[in-house]
Amino acid sequence: MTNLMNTPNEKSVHENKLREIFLYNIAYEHAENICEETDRLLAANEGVEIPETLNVWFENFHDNYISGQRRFSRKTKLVVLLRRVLVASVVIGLITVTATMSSDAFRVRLLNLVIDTKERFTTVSVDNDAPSMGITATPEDWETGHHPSYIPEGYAFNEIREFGTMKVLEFMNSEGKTIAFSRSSVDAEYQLNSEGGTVKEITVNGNEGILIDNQGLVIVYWHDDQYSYVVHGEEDVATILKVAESVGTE
Amino acid sequence: MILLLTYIADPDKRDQIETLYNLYHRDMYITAYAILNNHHEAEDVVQSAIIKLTRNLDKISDLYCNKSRAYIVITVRNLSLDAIKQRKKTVHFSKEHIEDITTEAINLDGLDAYILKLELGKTLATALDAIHRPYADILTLRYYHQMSASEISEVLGMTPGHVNVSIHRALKAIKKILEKMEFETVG
Repeated sequence: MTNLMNTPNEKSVHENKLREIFLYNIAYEHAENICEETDRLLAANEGVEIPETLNVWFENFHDNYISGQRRFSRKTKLVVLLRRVLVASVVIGLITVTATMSSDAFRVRLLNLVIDTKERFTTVSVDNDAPSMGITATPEDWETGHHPSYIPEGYAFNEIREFGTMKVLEFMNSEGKTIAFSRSSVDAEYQLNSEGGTVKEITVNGNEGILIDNQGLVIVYWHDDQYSYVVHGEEDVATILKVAESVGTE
Repeated sequence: MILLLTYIADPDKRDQIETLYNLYHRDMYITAYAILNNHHEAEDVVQSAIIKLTRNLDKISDLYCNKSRAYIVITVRNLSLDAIKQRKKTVHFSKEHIEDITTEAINLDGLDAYILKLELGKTLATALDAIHRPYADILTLRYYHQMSASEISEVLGMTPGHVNVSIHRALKAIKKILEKMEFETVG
């Protein structure tokens, strides 16, 4: 039979536990004594009135405490929310940057998406307030055939404007309506406002393009290997298309 | 929607404060009044006690028991004694005095010999309360409410060092009471 003995450490743990129980018992009895004594005190002071001012004070304190709790709770929740938003933004940003930089295919698709979106859903933005170059004659590099050969009846040539690589021919009728034809290098960017209008893919003389019909303003955009073209005016779709298709048919 | 949700405060805690006041405001007031014998001061003490108890609500698990009632009464009693000290403008425990006690060698060997005398609990508690009530209070907060020295110091408005010294002195006092009881039994 093996003779097992407790280690000094076990003995110490045992003694400490017993001591805790012993002191817990005294403390418990003291708490009971306090309650008994309080009962005796209450009985002895039965006639003592609690001042109404104490109740009023407590009501005010309680209201203020609740307001404070609400303010604290609001602040805490907002801070937590902002932190979460910040963390989520950082994580999304990191994932996007990492994915873009690490994957050629993803990067190309993302950039193409941006370019495609711009090409498809932007509008020609000619700033009428911008200073005109004052060109009144056909520019020297305005090759024959790269302008419309058909202009609706009533319209007459108004002016030529030049903005960087973009050249604009503007025609105006007696009512002040204009039809503008612009041409720029194929890599130029256009901003087409299609908001509220309809967008349709079309071909113009065999070239890919889009047609935007936006509450009376018709815009036709297309491009060939060399240039991008836009015709826009407040005429019906057929008329503007006819102007567009007349470019290069001279 | 988020702002609306944040308007919902912690209803449990709100109810707890109301319950605490409804259950114990008379206990608190009478306890303070019995010590101070002054209505204005008793009201001030009850207000201070409620503010203090609100800060330590997490230490009260169940309001409907003697354990919580004793804790509340100890808090009020201590604040009342503080008010008397302020009235008399005297300091019972100076820093130097506390440091002296801290360095004092307290030999508690021999207390283990009595640890099985659980039936003496009530007598010992009463005797300790009679010798020095704050010792009995501190012992109750430490061993019944299982508070740390730091938590007790917050409740009783004293330093943790002072709390530790008081616990040692309380244990020493219990030992002396036990020795006296044994002597009387033998005698």
